[in-house]
Amino acid sequence: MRTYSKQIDDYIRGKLTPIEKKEFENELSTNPLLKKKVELCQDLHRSAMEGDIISLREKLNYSHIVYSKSKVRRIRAISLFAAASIALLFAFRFMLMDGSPNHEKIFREHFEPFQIIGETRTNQQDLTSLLPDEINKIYKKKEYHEVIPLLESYLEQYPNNKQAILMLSTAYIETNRNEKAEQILLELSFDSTKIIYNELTKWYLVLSILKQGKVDDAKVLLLEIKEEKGFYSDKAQSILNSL
Amino acid sequence: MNSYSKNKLLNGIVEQDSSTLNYLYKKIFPRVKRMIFRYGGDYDTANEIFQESIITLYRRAKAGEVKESLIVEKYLFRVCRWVWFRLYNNNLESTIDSDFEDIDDSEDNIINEFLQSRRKKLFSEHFEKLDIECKRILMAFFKGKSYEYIGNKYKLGSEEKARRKKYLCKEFLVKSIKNDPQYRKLIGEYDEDLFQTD
Repeated sequence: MRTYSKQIDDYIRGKLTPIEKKEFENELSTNPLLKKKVELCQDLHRSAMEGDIISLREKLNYSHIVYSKSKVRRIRAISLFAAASIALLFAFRFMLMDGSPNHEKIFREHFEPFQIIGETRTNQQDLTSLLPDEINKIYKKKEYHEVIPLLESYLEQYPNNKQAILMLSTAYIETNRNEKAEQILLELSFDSTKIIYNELTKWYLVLSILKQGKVDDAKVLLLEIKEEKGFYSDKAQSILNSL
Repeated sequence: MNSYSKNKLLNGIVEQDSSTLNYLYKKIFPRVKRMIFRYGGDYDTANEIFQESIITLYRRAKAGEVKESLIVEKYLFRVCRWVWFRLYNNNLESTIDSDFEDIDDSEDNIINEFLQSRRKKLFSEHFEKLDIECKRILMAFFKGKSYEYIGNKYKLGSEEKARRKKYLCKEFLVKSIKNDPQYRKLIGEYDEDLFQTD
């Protein structure tokens, strides 16, 4: 079987005559295996010459090391913090014990359903976010099992409505579908176009994670919220103290 | 933690700015990692997917194929999620709701670019393992230099010897790549002839 190896190299290196090139390209258009071979050889040639990519990989590896080291430092800090908290917990165990794990208790203390626009603490209204009255009413009545399918189908039509995403996530949390809540909140947390909701998104994300008992993950996010010094900063600090 | 505007973040990636890359690791990687852990993945896989997604975005941004409105954090997270489900977790259902508003491309193209980037990484790693003479000869060959030029430049004696030396170096490189366990995963759907040399 013909391997075309020399032609492939010559083609990639631009060494074929115009007639040879045309013939080769005709062959390429009808021979998928040959096409794949050419792509692979092109990758081989280019990979050796992509100095910028090699440099980027090195820098990314370095950033990974920086990240890992800071994580170790943070874990140490959290461990110290946790040790101190455990000591406090023992000291006040009779006061604190109510039969539930601590993270559940904290969740219950801090979780509140989403305030539908117009009733928010900031009064900053985003008119594009207004939802149909029917959905708002059911949500306000705390009929979460009923409102979930409505919000899901609404979001299929309007996937960028942040208010609807927050309502759906909290409805998931209320109905113990915490992983689903975490998933949509995680994605929303990357959307920096709605600054008004950024902190709130992280806050609900923390609570959804906390409810699942993932205390270490929650601590990392709580530290982030605390460092951002926003509305939830003090609450984040308070939870960190309790954990 | 400093925050970055959309443009600054994208420019930081194109310029390979270390503080931008550190920021991406600090801000996005923990969430990518958490998502992959939740579906049974491990740390190394999460890191590999994350790095390769940044490199794919870098290539696109450098080629001017990314709109300025792109939200880098969201884009990277979605690419990581797609790649994880399509290539590692084999779960197509979890990806079908995703679309890119800020980038004119399909999921398949993104996945293909990701795979191509990983192939190039594999090739580049094996290229780096070659001795310095082979590296120089192959580099000159890939750049389109003639055998006469290569023979003279690296004092190989003749054009024929340059051709022979290039053949041996390339053969060694291809064998080294084929022996890598990653080769089967990345190119495995095709047969052994793909890298056959004359």
